[in-house]
Amino acid sequence: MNTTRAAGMPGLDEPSAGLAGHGAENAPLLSIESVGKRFGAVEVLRDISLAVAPGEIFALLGPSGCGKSTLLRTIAGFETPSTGRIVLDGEDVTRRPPNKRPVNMVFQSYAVFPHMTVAENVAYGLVVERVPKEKIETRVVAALEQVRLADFATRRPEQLSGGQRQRVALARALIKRPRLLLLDEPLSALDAKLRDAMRLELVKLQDTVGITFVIVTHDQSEALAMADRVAVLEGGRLRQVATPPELYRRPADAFVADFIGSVHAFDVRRIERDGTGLLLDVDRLGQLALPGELPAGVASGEQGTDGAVLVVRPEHIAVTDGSLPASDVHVSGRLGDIAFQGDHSIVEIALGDGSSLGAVVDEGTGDALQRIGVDAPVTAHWSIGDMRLLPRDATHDDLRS
Amino acid sequence: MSRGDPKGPFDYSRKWSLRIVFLIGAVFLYVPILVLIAFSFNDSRRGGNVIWKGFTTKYYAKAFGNEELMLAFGNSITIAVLSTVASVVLGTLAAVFLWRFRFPFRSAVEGLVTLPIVIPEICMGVALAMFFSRFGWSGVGDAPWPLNLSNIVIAHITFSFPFAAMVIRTRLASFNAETAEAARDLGASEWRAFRDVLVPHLRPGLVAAALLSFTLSLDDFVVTFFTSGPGTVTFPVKIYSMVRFSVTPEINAASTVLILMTLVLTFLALRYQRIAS
Repeated sequence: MNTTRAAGMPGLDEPSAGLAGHGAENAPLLSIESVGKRFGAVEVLRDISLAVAPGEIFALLGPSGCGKSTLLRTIAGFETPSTGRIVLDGEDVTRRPPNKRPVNMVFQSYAVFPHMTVAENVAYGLVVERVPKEKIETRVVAALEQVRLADFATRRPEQLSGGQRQRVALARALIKRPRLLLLDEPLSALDAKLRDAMRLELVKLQDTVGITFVIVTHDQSEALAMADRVAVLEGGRLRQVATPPELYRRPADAFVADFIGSVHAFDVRRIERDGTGLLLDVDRLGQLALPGELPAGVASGEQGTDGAVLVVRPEHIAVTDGSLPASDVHVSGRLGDIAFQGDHSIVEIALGDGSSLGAVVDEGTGDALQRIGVDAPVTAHWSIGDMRLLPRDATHDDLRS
Repeated sequence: MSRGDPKGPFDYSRKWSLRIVFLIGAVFLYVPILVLIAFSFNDSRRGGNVIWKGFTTKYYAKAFGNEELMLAFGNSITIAVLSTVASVVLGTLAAVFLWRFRFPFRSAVEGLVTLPIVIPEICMGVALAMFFSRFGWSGVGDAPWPLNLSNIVIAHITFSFPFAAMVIRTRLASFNAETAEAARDLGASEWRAFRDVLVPHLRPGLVAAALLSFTLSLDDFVVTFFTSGPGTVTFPVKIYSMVRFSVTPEINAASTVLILMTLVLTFLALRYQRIAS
């Protein structure tokens, strides 16, 4: 379905694609409509459009500086977009201050008020709202129970661990019963063990409260594991919006492919249509016949420096020093480091010109390669079906026009 | 701590040279004050008299009975309170403004705010005296209280406000701006977030700034001397004029009361800060 998408506008029509039960058929809870943001001469967000369906966990994923935090702060109301609109529940909230939006946020530093007790922190949003005292008390007790902090009500923030502080921040936001909960890098400040536990806990919590979550993260495994749908941002532009399996299997361009997992990319020199398929001239691999249509954002003919690439994932690459299936694509090189990872090993194959290829192999192959020894000539091979022809940057076309 | 122990590299308290330096420092700092306090109880007609003539509290009674001295004392307290309130409010505004916003020439503005700290006080005094007389403000001594002190209050604000701004600015540096945003996010207006989150964080800085402004104002002589008129004498100026005739134990007694007051104030402020945190 990616191949039929309009070039240059990844993500816009994506909610309808591969989304069971979410998105297009329901009215979106949040729509971001061609939002742009500049800070002086710096363009932090460029023409971002996406829709978040009610009840889903939506992740904004990208490397640091990609604009994902700015986008989140724009949704919360801390930044006003330079162009475009933000529509929440059918209402334009673009210029509404943060205290007037039915949206709450869990900050990266948790931002727990240090001079208040846990209970006072959690109650704050209701006190400001002038909710009657008795009601506040019962709701605070319920909120603290929900995040398993019932015994900590009278503690001060400095007496809590990082994980507990985060749960205070969560309870403080959830007690407001927001339409949308924003989480800024919710797991980044926790240690690895706690991170895994909290990840599960967040998903479970979202399930019980039924509030839509928008999560900002730079960690692709976090986004893939938690989110129903993921928006990949880079350089202030939206690269792709899709479900985690789709992002992995059908990335819109080389950046997404490499950011979600990793890929080895071969430069494509020339593409020609050949009956039902394509005939490619690929750097290092030579002439290849690839079945299927031209993907979005890729034109046939001579490819420039910003043209198409042919990618393969390390987990699809096999390594041998003997014979290989005749139909497989292959490159030869010398065996480099073998990194033992338990149930699998990551094998490096030096390709001679300083570049190298990584392959994920199973335990047995890893042991066998270990015996051959470093620097032995080997061949990396994979099926042509595991390769994908992708534009380097799917957002490139509309920028040039 | 037997004498046989070898000295550690950071065992400064056991070095004789350092002990002597410390002793000399303490002597010069506190002995004059202790002598001043002790001789306020001396039953002698002259305060400069270093011969102990017996214990008496009559000079305290005399000091409290001295109407001019009491008036000066009242003026000093009034001026200190008013200029402290104004300095802390202005200092907070300036500090938050400089911290919160980016604008052209920000560092220049910051320098301008703190400049009065380094300007010699005598210059400030002369400049303010000329300024007030140019605008006919020096003749306000006959105006009803506390307007008669207005020019001195303004003068005191000009030199104590930069200190307040600096102290509060320092405290602001440790503020997590996300907590103010969190308050906004939870429904607080800009003002409510300021009151509920920023002010509690600033509190120790505000107390320190207030204490500093208060003591700066209370014991200021130079600027006050240039801006006070015959009807608006402050405590330090009054003491100075009394000393010019003769040093009596009455002055010792008045000074002792002043020292006691500042000590109590500082103690209360520190205690309050400990409770608040």
